[in-house]
Amino acid sequence: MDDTHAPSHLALSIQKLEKRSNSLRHRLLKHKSAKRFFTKTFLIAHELRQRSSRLLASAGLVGALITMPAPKSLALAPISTETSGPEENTFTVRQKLMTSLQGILPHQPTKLTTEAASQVEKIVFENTNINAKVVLEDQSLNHTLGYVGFEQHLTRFPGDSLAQHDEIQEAGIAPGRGAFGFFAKDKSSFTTREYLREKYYCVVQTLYLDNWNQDHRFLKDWYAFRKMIVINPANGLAVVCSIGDAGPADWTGKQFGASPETMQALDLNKGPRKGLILMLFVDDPDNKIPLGPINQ
Amino acid sequence: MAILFYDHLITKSEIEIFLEASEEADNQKGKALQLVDDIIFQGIVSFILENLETHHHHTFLTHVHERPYDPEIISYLRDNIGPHIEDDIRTEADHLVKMILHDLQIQK
Repeated sequence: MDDTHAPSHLALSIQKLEKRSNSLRHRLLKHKSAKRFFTKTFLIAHELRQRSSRLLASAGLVGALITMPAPKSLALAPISTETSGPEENTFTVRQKLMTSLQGILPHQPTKLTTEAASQVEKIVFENTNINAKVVLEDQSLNHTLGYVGFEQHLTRFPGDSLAQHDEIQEAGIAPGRGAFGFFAKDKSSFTTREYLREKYYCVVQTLYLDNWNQDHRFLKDWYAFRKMIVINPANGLAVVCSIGDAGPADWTGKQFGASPETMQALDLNKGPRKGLILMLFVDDPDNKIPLGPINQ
Repeated sequence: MAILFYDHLITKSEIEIFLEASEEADNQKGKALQLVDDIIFQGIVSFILENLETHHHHTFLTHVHERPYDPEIISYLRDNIGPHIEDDIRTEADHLVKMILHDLQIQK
């Protein structure tokens, strides 16, 4: 963003709020007992909310697991093509995706080399019929492989609330909008498309792209709700999702984020709710590939 | 669902509406909302500690740290501060929200 202008009204207000927050922090830390709990972070409420959401989600999932029917076969997505051969054992398909990727992916965040990228794209296409790309229309992310974190729901339109989200409400809802704005401008224009975009959204670090500041306007439009495929190489589970927000911050140690439903579909919604995943663009100019899990 | 134990006692819609209507960048609005959240948290917890006997502080803070959402925290405060604690938290929160709105509405 261009910050060469004088500070905005809100920037000045933020300075006042920071002063206010510091003064209240001093008030809080006057209590000896509080020092033990609150000296490690300057984002007390934010971290507590995250912890609270995690605990609630875990509690909710325990209940869900008890009552959940046994999973169906690990079916391949109905993204078949005429070139597909006879119907394969679905578990074999997921297993093939998993084992093929595991053999070539490093176990650390990275941007794949051109050679590795071609191999990955070929494996993904052979096993999902999805044309996945590390570089699309000359655009690429700083990481192809990175850690993903469990995000909260996003506000889909002005006036949206957590209660109106139909699944995993324990995750909570993020304050404010996603970096690309509301999914729909108002409730009356909220369609199934926007519903699915939030349900299966992912978060990528557009803010750290080298050309972000120069080409911000173009890049924001290009990345907003861009279709991606997320693959968990540890188990072969994959989800087609759309970019709904920018982040996470570098200091979190994560390179991506994903909606509660996406994380659930990747089986990354338990324990630390973090895992190494592959994030690729989906080349789908005719918008034929639906959002959602593709091999469950 | 309340994510922090006092969420149901706080009305900050005026702040949210104010920020929503602002044409500033989303990251700036997000930062402001995070500060608002922190100010309210620090204000409410300070207020509780000031009204709770010192020997209860550790139990209260441990509970908040381990189960921030737990409605039992309010029950604990009711038992150890008084039955009016929810009203008191509401009043304190209203005071904090007014201060925040003042900070947000300053003119250059």
